[in-house]
Amino acid sequence: MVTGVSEAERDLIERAQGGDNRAFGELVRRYQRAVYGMARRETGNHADADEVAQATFVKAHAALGGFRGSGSLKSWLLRICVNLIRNRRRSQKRMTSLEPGALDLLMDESQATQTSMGDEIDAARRRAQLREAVSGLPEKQRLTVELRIYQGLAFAEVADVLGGTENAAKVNFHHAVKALKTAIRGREEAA
Amino acid sequence: MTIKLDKDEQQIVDALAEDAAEGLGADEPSPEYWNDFAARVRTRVALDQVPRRRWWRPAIGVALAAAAVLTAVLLMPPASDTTVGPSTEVTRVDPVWSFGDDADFFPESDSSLDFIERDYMNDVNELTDLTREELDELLADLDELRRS
Repeated sequence: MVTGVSEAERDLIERAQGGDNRAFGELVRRYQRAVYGMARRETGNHADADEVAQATFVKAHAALGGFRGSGSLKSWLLRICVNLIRNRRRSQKRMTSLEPGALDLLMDESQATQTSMGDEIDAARRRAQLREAVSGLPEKQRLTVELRIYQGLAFAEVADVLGGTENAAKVNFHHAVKALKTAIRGREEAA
Repeated sequence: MTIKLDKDEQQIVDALAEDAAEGLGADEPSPEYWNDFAARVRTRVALDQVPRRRWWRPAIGVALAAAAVLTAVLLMPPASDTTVGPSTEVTRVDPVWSFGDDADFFPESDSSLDFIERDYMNDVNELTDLTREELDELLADLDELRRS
């Protein structure tokens, strides 16, 4: 019996567990952006993100019978996604970072479209710097920021996805923010 | 446990939250991508549920058929030369089940076995949007049949 989710979602999950592919399709539509978004930020490109997001839902379909709903479906899906990303990284032994030139591209786009809007250029620059700083964090800190800020999970859910305790998730988050502050300050001083 | 952030750290958290609210921005895929995404997941799930064909199954079929032909050939009565009276003319009697021109019943290369070498995922990748939609409709019909 699924217990940790809303009634409407519980109904969808139970129907999907019973083999109703339409219900499963609805669940995919609900969470495809969240899963893809995480995969996109972690892999740094669309092709890999698409592959990871697809694989997440295929794996979720196969394992859905074992979902008991002690946490949210979203955090369960994101845990699958995190595991796939980690496995992929292990097999490819590839560092996660922004694609080469991604920062320049973002700046160029901003400058091309917003030349008369100085504030927005600054905002885009700050945003690009922030993303680059996040991508440079150690994996656990980066994933904590991703799950807490970009996915809006509670710290208890972050701990559920990444393993560990709620307090450990909070400590990781705080370390991540301090590391971001140091990275951004260093960049500003260098500029 | 509560997290205490100084002013700069709080600004960073606010900036992260702003960035999250903006979504993927320029990296956001097109609306068509999202429309297509669930359909592609369903196709992959359906293909995962189809048991993979075993390479040895058609091979066994071919071997059994070949064995049957060989047995039939071995059991076939020898074509007898029948002589009538003093005549030395030989009358050849062909058995009615002679293989005759059917000797090439099993061609050297059997194109029906080509699929063994292909990964079925290649087939999916080659599907056009139209055929993929048709496959989705078939899967949806199958769902309804199961439920009814």
